[in-house]
Amino acid sequence: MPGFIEFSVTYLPYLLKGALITIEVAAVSVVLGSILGTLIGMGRVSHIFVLSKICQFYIWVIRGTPLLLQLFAIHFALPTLNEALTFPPFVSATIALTMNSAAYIAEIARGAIQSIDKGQMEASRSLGFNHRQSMRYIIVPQAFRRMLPPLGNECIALIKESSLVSTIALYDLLRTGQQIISSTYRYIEIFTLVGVIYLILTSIMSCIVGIIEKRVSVYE
Amino acid sequence: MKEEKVSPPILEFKNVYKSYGDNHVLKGIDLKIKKGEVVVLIGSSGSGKTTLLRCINLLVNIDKGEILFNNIPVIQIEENGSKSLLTNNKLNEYRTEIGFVFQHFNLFPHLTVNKNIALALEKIKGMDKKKIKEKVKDLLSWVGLESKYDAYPGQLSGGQKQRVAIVRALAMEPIAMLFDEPTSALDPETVGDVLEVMRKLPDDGMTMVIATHEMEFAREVADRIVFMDKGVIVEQGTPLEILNAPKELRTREFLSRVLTRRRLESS
Repeated sequence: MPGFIEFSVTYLPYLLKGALITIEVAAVSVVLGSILGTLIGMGRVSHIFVLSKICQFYIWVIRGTPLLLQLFAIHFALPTLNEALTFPPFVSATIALTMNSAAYIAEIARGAIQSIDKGQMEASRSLGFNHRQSMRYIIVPQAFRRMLPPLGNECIALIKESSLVSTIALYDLLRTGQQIISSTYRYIEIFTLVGVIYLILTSIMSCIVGIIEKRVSVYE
Repeated sequence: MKEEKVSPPILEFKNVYKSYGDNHVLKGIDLKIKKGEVVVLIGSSGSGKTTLLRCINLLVNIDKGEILFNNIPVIQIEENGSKSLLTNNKLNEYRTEIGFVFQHFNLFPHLTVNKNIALALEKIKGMDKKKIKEKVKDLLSWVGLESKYDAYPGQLSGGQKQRVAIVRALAMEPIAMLFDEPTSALDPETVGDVLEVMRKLPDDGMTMVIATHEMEFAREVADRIVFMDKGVIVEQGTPLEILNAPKELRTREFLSRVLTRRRLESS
């Protein structure tokens, strides 16, 4: 590989710009997905039968179909239904990844809520809190702490899965790499660089997860 | 029995039944508890003591019968299945008047001791923050735990946790306090601290219903001891009547089992 260093120095700024898009898509999706997913997870354990079934259906559909299909459906199929549903690639990508991660996070939230000892709800109810207050002040705060480590892992998965957005012409890390290859034909160098950047991103994320895990375990 | 007919019952069970599948836990319970009375429930595990307590604040819904608080039915289920129950708002209000102390404490692990006690005062009673702080400090020093104000439950011993749990229930100023085997999950050396706190409560006229295996404690604090076996009340009376001169064979058998075990443990 002659001149790998020089080559890298020339093209690294473009790749880092792509990496920024990757980070943006992943970060926005994980934040929105966490909120949506927690709500769906709470709906899933709700005593309201219809709500619980709707949430279960959502999780079943999203987890049972490929993310790539969901991405295409939003970016290519929706506009044919109604032109108003035409989104720029970044928005389509964020919607698809948010909806997808929400389904996985909903299951994380459900597991976390159900893992809280039944005595906590009983103690809360016996003090006179209603069901909603009990969820809000007692159950969900405890469940949220238990959600953090698996949520971090979901975040790592999302960084990698976000590479699928390269298929809808969003210039993320992978797509930027492919674009450079199309003019330089230096497959090995570019894919190596792209891989290393993904590794760095996911490693940073696992460090953050590790720190959170330590912090959270303090009171338990 | 002292002042038997004077005060009306604050809590009343009328022919209460409860079963879990084929397991009939309560089989026709009739029980009246007067204001300020200390009633101790004894009986072996599975006799229905815990379920009886949980029925009172409706953590468990009965299958049949009626439970009244201050002569008002909180739950009423007729033979034909027709049901009347407090509306949700009334139910939550009713629960604030009944303090419940659990065998496993059930403190909120994500909140400090102070927050454990203050949360309901703040969110339910809407009390002023300054007043809450004073009240929490007073109550904690009353049980000798003022230094644990900012501690998390995870940093406390079992006995300390249970004292905080008692204070948390007391802070709501309930009319009655229910104790579900409050010392059964404790190390022997911390049992005394919890019993000491419980001993102080009847002095303020607190109505108490206590399920326990601590016979000496029962003898000391109870106005009335109720012996339960297999979901029925077998016998009830003053501590002297039940512990020294039980009429029923089942009561005698239970007591001799408990006392033998005690002797074995202490030898």
